[in-house]
Amino acid sequence: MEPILEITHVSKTYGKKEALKDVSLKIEPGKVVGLLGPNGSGKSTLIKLINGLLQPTDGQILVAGQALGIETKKMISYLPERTYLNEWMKVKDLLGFFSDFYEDFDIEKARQMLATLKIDEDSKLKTLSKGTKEKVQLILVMSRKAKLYVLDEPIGGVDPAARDYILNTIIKNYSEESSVIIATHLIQEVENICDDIIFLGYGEVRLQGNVDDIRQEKGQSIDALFREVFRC
Amino acid sequence: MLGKLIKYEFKATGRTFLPLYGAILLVALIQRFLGRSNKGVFEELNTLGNFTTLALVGLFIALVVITLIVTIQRFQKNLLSDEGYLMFTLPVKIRSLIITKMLVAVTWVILSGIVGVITFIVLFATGEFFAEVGQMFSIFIPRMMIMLQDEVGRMGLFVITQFALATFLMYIQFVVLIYLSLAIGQFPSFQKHRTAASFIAFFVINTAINWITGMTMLGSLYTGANMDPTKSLFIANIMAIIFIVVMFEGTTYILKKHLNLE
Repeated sequence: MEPILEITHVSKTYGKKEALKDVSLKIEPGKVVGLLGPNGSGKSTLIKLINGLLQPTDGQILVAGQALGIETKKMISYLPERTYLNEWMKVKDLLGFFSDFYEDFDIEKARQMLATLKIDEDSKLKTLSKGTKEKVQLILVMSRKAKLYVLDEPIGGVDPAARDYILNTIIKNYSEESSVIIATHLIQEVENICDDIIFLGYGEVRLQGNVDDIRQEKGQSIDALFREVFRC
Repeated sequence: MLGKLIKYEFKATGRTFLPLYGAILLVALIQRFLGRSNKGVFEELNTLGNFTTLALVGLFIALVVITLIVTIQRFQKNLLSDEGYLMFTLPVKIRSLIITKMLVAVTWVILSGIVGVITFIVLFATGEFFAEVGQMFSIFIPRMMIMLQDEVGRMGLFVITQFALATFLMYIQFVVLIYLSLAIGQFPSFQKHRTAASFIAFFVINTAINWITGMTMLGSLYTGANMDPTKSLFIANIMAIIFIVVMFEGTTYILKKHLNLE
């Protein structure tokens, strides 16, 4: 099957700084992939490149075999690390917004999730707490039937109970045709839902592979391995 | 897609403009029905109604200032800040994002003008007023047209169109210049000095535009093309269109290839 994401010899340099050096990786459909690395490792840069928010200095990125453009934006559902929604809108306005721009948006699914988390559709985004805003964002992103979900620190600012809910939502969305990339430094939490992991350090891929294989080979959890590989 | 973008842009900006229009019309109505007597226009402004007059003037000044602020803010906040992560990952052309902002910004200015006219009518319209206006249209204007034609030849209507177009183009040029300046300001090299960089870009480019336009006008003078106002205006308008297109493409290019969301 064609890989959902194919990154070939991608580099990104800002002036003198090399944010990404010759990064190559492939992600097959139906996988949950953890993109793990310390702050400044190039995770965000890589994610921005995939989403077309940055242009690579070198190399090529293909999503489902296509070069980056409007068509690939239709296939990618992106959750950035920050609140990126219009603060003045009500939650139900956002539902309308996503429906308008994304054909693959499942509004009923979003409504259900909002109801489960007891979030009032009539509330204005700016009146919600930070944690609730993040949940709303996540619900909107996961309610799309995308080919590739790119989640940047999806559980960072959220309480443990909500974390479980979010991780469960991610798993429930699993389909053989789509994949999820979770970029995070909270490895312990996501270790158990990932199929594959990629270690990114100083702009380079340090390790890549199947979680179970790696755990067996190295005889330790991914979390422990991470601490070892990225020891300060 | 452009239609949808425009819809949301109006929703976002309407929250600011509509209440302001409402306030203006309300004050105008108050002025008209509480402060009015059957005096002439200028005597009018000296009697009761000083307060409402002041309020009205204040509101119109506020409208101008707010229009400028909103134009800048919408571009900066919705495209070049956190919301940019949403807007630039939508499956739309980057070009469409910019066109949307521009169209909506210009529409509000036109609407503001209309509100101004309505305010004027609300304040001063009487039977006499309408009679005067009727006269103006049926007698005065055609007379003016004939005078104009004597001056500039058969192209009277053309000149008027050029004037209207000139005002319109000047504003669009101004708006696109703002967008280009903001786009330049967000370059990674200017990281800590975005605002300063945008200001400087604005003044430098604006000066360049004025200089080029000036030189061209001078040039056309020397080629003996004319002292004909019609032709100069026409050339100025063509130049404005060229500048608009160039700056628009520049802005699009920068946001496509050098987007730098924090």
